[in-house]
Amino acid sequence: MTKTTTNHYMPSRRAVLAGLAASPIALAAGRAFAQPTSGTLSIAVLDWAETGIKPVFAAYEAARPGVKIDYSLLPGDYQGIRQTLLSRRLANKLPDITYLADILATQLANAEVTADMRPFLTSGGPIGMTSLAKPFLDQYLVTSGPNKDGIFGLPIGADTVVLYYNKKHFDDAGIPYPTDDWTFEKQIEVATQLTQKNGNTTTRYGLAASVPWHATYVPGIEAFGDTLLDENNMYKLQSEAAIKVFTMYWDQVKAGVIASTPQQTQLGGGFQAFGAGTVSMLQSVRALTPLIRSVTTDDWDAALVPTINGVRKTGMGSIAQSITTTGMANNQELAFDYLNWFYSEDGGMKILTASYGTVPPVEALYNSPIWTDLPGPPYDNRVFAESIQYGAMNPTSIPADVQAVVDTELTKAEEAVVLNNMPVADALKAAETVINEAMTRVLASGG
Amino acid sequence: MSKTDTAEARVAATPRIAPRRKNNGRTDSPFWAALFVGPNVVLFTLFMIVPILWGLGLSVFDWNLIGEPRFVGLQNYTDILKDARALNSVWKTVYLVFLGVVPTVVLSFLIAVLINTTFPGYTVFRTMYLLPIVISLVASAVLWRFIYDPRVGPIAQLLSVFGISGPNWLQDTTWAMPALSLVIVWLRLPLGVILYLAALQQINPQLLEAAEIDGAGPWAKLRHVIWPNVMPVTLLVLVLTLRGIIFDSFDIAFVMTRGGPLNSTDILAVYIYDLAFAQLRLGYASALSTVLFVIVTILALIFNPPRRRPTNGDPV
Repeated sequence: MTKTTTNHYMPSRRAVLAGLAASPIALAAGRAFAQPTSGTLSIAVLDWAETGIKPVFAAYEAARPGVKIDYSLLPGDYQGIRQTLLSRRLANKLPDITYLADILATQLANAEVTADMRPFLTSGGPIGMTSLAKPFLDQYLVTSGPNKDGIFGLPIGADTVVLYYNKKHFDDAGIPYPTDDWTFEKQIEVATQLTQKNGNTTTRYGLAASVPWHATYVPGIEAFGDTLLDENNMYKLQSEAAIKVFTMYWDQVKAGVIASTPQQTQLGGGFQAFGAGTVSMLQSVRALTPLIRSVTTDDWDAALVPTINGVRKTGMGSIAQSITTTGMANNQELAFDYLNWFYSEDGGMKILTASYGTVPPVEALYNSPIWTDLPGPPYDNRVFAESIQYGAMNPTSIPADVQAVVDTELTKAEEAVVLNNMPVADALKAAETVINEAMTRVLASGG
Repeated sequence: MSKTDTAEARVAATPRIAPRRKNNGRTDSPFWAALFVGPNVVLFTLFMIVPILWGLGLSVFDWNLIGEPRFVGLQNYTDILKDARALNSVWKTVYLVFLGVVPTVVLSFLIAVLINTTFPGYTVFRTMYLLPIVISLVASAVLWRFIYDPRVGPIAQLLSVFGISGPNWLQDTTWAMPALSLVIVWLRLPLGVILYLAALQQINPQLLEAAEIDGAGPWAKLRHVIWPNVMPVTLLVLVLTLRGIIFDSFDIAFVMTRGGPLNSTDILAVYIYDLAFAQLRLGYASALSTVLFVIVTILALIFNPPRRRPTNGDPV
């Protein structure tokens, strides 16, 4: 395994011609799925996933002597991923396989960075169309435009938002741990009890929840029986449900009980604050569990997120991997083999889940001991799998360019409400205007 | 006899020698000039001129890195006038310049004057002032974010000793920009101090001695001898600080506040980044960059207009 810091992998002209010439033969022989005995596979992974994925690469190389993996890093945020991949496409230096985020599925497909994964899923290999968890696979199903009905990513984990809690804080306050029947009101009542202040300054927050994050507000809006977008794909932040959801969270941010996004940033990030004991409860995802484990000294566990309006909904999503157009053209056999091995219970999944950062996106492995029997914390791994049925997804029809505006405008709305006491409805109206202007502009230019 | 007369007389007295080789070893051969200047010209063209021209060209297109660029003429420029966030960003940039330039120049000068002396351990003292220049901008931003922390930051701790509950510096629309500007001044000081130190050490000591003999005190010497002698450097520091604050403040603003709260620190560099890399509106971002470039160029020309190099009659 080698790490490329500045990607220099460029298939030679001879390799490309050889690959093209051999492709009909490979296709004809594809059903046999002979393991490749040599070759190099280039993979771009997210920077924060590097530690967890390196043992996977090493195990694959051990399982396929003669095969080498040349990996490079992508930034961890979706804007950075997009910028890097588009630049590499322009430079004709795409890797064979790349990580991506759900919000980028359509845009990267339209940009011819990622290839349609249906040929892989229908190739007759161990991993087929029904192998991967549908809600997570659907995030990468393109629903409009030139690539409509294509699948442009395979989920790497089945991530849902759960409630992490500091057991010591609960014990010290004599409060019972969260249970499955918790409501939002009960959560806020306990969070208020756990909050500590010095004058007007909160020194310990009861809860850290990023309100302008879609995994927080989308489930809330759905719990109140509404949707985020109207039939024309426009945001409806003026709906009664949206105003209720943002109000109930932002009231607690104003009260100093919930740490807002900027406050979490100031604390070094939500998981760092949880680890340092500066917040007692944290709404976050399995992917961050390795980091939470590494920074938290107090004992802790995870629970289901509470119900809102009597309904349990939780944010869901997953990063994914996809063969690129370059990889599909030049290194398809090796890429297929790697992905089939990656999702197998005794292959990549076993190693990846051992790092605590992944719930397998394979339904057959939801209760597999490869990850549920890992020693705690977290002790209650049931919640990660059980949450999946309550998942509420950010609409996949939102273009990534618009999501950037949404994130900025909702953060600004939060600041207007918290710092300037602007009424929630007014702040949301201002945000909605800018967001829908951006939506109109982006949709008019082809999305 | 005037100074010019003296120079002319000196030139006249200079023996005419072969122009091929002078006393200091210089030659008129263009080969050597090209050899030494060439690499810089190539690199400057490649990494400065070409990107500037490229950006200028891009500013009349609508492009998102994915589809084909679409020619839109001057629409991106006219859109700026209708963009409230762009106008706010221009204002915030001007505000940051106001808060940053004057303190940087004044403090650089005063610190340079104070440390332009020798005493035991003075090199350590000078090094301390120059430290910020070797710390990465992002590391500085993270460090200062901790310093401004309203719960455990040193400023909050210090104020609490006096029973004062300070604001949440970076989450307060009034204080966020002054808090940022303090960091930027701290970062820009070393360069100013270095330049002023060099200028101070060029002042003829006889001038200061003459002033002392004439009865000038420390303030009078500072005002009437030192300050006028370092005026060219002041202009240089002014222009470099101005350019630095406008172009190099992105890291600090992005890491510390991301333009918030409520766009109170949303300087042009942050907005341009957001447009180009979050919204992929590369044409519009380029138009805004071009406007920023023009503003900085005009300000630089105002503060430091180009002038003929004084030759004092010396045949350069």
